[in-house]
Amino acid sequence: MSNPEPLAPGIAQAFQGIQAAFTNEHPLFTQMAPKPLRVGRGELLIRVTPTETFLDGDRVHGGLMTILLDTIMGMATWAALEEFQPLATINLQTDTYDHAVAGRHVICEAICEGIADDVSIVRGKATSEDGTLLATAAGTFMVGTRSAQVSRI
Amino acid sequence: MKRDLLDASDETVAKAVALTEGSAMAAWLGTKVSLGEGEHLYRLTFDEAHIGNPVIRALHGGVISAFLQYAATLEVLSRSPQPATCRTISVHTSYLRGSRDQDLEVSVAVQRVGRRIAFVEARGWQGERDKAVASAQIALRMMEG
Repeated sequence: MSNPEPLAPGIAQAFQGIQAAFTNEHPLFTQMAPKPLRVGRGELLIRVTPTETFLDGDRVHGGLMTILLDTIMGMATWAALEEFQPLATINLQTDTYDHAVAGRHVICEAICEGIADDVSIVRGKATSEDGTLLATAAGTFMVGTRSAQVSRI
Repeated sequence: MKRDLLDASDETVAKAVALTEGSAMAAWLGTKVSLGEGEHLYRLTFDEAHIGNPVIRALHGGVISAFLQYAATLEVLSRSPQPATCRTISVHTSYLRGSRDQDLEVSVAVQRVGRRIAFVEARGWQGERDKAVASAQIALRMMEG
């Protein structure tokens, strides 16, 4: 795998703040110990560890994969930008293959395929650490929404 | 497995509530189920952990989609005449309006329950029902319970 293309300087600075918030402050993400494995222009690879908070019966609920993939796919859009702008998810499709296991790492990756007319097209994937596919996703995001109030992530 | 679902009633609501008990995810989403006019209504009870970006204080898009998915599952399983289980195949969510840091109400329309697959549409709103925040098309793999 080649080295990732570096982020734009303003985006790199914003990502430092996001990483600090996700690691130390955010009530959802802090408990999953997010660890960035690869961050580059328009691409992200992050490791998280789902907790028992998200169990439905003895399995991690598939909705958590949707939450994680929406998050990382929005971040992949930011990673493709020259300067930070608010985003709003337009639509998101998640296809579920298998369940994550609480306490075991999940690897989430997202690639921003491109941005046209302020709409980004992103695909994502979640796998367990042994490579088992958990879910795939495809999403579109509006870049530069007029009001920050309509941005979600 | 029969394809017809039971009509929404106090009994089917009780069945849906029973499905949420013991589910950590249901508790995390603050799931509540009630009987509306001939339909189940599902409520996500707002919590700070449901916020994506604390600066703009909107519900996380993934949380909205996850709750629509969860409500769809509860609807099909609680109204199934025979014991059944299911798993989500796909969720396709459209975000129609910006959300706020408030509860989300959801209704579910079952389009078809086949022997192996169910197709369901879930809609969520905050405040005015005719101003949906999001809607989702959901496919479920049905299995005998």
